[in-house]
Amino acid sequence: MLEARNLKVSYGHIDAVRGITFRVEAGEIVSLIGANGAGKSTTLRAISGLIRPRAGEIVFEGKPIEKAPPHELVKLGIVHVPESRQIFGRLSVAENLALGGYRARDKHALSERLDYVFGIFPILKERYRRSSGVLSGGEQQMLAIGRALMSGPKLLLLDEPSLGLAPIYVQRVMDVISQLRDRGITILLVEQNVHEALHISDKTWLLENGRIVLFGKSGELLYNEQIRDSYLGGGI
Amino acid sequence: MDFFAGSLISGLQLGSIYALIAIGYSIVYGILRLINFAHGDLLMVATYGAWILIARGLSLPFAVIGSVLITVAFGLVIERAAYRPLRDAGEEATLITSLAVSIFLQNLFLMVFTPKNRAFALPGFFSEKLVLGGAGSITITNMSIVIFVVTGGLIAAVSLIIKKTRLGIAMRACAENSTAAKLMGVNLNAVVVFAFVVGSALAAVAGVLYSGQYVSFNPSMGFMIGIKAFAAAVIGGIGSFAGAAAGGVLLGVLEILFACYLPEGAGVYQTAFVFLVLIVVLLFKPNGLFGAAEGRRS
Ligand SMILES: Nc1ncnc2c1ncn2[C@@H]1O[C@H](COP(=O)(O)OP(=O)(O)O)[C@@H](O)[C@H]1O
Ligand SMILES: [Mg+2]
Repeated sequence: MLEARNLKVSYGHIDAVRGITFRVEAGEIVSLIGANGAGKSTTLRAISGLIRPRAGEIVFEGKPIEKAPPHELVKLGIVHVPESRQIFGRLSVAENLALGGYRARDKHALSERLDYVFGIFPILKERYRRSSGVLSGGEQQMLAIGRALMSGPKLLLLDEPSLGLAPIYVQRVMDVISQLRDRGITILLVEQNVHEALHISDKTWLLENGRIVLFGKSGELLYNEQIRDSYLGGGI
Repeated sequence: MDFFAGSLISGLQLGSIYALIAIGYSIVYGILRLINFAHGDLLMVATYGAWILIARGLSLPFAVIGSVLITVAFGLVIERAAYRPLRDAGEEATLITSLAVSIFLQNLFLMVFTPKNRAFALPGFFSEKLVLGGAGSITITNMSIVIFVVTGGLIAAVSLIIKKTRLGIAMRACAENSTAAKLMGVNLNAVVVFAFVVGSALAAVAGVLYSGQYVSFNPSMGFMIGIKAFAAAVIGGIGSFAGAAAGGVLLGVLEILFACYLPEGAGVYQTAFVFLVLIVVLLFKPNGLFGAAEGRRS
C-alpha cells in the first residue's frame, strides 16, 4: 500500500532520515520504533507532506506522493495524527471533528463516521459542545484520533498515541487501534512504548539514527535479543 | 451633556471605521503572523477606485461595489506577489516587505493621481440631519447612519462567516496551529486568500466611508489611518476578531473625546494621546484586551 524507497529528509544541515526503505501492506498495523531522535516523526512528516524529502520516493497505492501537499494526501486517504496530539484547543470538540472531515463533502458519510467515533469514544459525544482545550490528555488523544477518522482514512499515521497517557488510556487507545485495523484501516504506528507496539502490530521496522536496522514480524521481534536488550529493558 | 452625546456619536462613527480596518489586520496576522502595513493603503486604493468610477458616471452603489472589487484584486495581487514567496522567510522579512509594498502603492498613486487633495461630491442626502433629542441639539447625519448600518452589518456578517462556515472554522484553526490544520486537509493558501479577500473588502468599504465622511483624500491618506487601525487591533488583541472590532470602536471614541475634551492647545495632540492609550493597555495587558494568551504551536 505504502512504500518508501531510499528516503532522505533533512532539516537544514541535520540529516534526520538517511535513506530508508520500508513498506506497509494494506490491512496491517505496522510499527516504526526507535529511540528518541531516531527519525520516526520525521518519516511520518515526509509521508504526510509536511516536509519535502531531500531524496527518495514515497509511493502510495502505486502513485508517487513525495511532492504532494498535505491537503492532497488527505484526499488520497493518508491522515497523520501528529505528536502531542495538536488538537485545536480554542475550538470546540464539534469544530475539531468538523475539521477532521474538512475534505469529505458527503454529508451522509460524515454523519456515519461521527456516529462511529462517538461509538468508540463516547466521551467525545458528552463533550461535543465544549471547548476542547479543557479536555484531559487522554480525552485529547481520543479527539485527535476521532478527528482523523472523520475524513475516512485508508492509511492512518499515528505518532506516539500513548505518550503521556495514564495506563488505562493506553489500553483503550491500543484497543481502538486494533479495532480500526479490523475495520480495514491500515496503520503505521510510531511508538516509544515498544512493548505495546510489538504486541499490537503485525510487522515492525526499527529505526536508529535515521536508518532502518531491523525488520520482522512483531511477534518474533519480541524475542529478538537486540530488541530485548535495547528497547524492552532486558526482559518483558 | 448634548455635546458629549454628539462627540460620542462621532467617536463611534470613526471607531466603527477603524474596526473594519482593524479586522483585516487581525485576521491576516492571526494566520500568517504578518503585520501587513500595506493594509492601510488599500483604503486609499478603494477611495481612488470609487472616485474614478463615479467620475465615469457610475451610480454610487455600483461605484462602491466596483471599488471593493478593485481593492480585493490589489489585496490578492499583493499577497501572491509579495507575501507568498516569503511565507517561510520569517516575520521580519515580511514586515519589511509590507512596508515596501505600502511605499510602493503610495508612490504609484502619487505618480498617477498627483498629491493633490481630492474629494467626493456626495449627494446632499448624506449631509441631511436627523434630530435625535436634546431639543434639537443632538443630531445625526444620514452619512453617520449609513456608516453605522454598513459597518455594523459587515461586522456581524463577517463574524458569522468566521464562526459558522467551513472556511471560517478552517481560518480559526490555521490561526491556532497551521501545521495541524494542514493535516486536516486544509489548504493554507486557500485560507490565506480568503483572509485577504475579506480584509481587503472591509478595508475598501472603510476607505469609501472614511473619505465620504471626512471630505478630502490624497495618496498618503492610508498611512495614518492604517497605523491607528493597527493600534486598535493591538489594543483589542491582534489575531482576535472581537478584539479588533472592540479595539477599533474604543480607539475612535477615545480619539474624538480627546479632541473635544482635552484642554485648549492639547486637543491637537489627540493622536499622541491615542497612542498613549495603546502603551498603557500594553503595559497592563501585553496581549491586548481580548488577546489569546497562548502562543502558537506549530
Ligand atoms: N524541526 C526540526 N528542526 C531541526 N531538527 C529537527 C527538527 N525536528 C527534528 N529534528 C531532528 O531530527 C532528528 C529526528 O527527529 P525526530 O524525527 O523527531 O525523531 P523521533 O520522532 O524518532 O524522536 C533529531 O535529531 C531531531 O533533533
Ligand atoms: Mg517523535
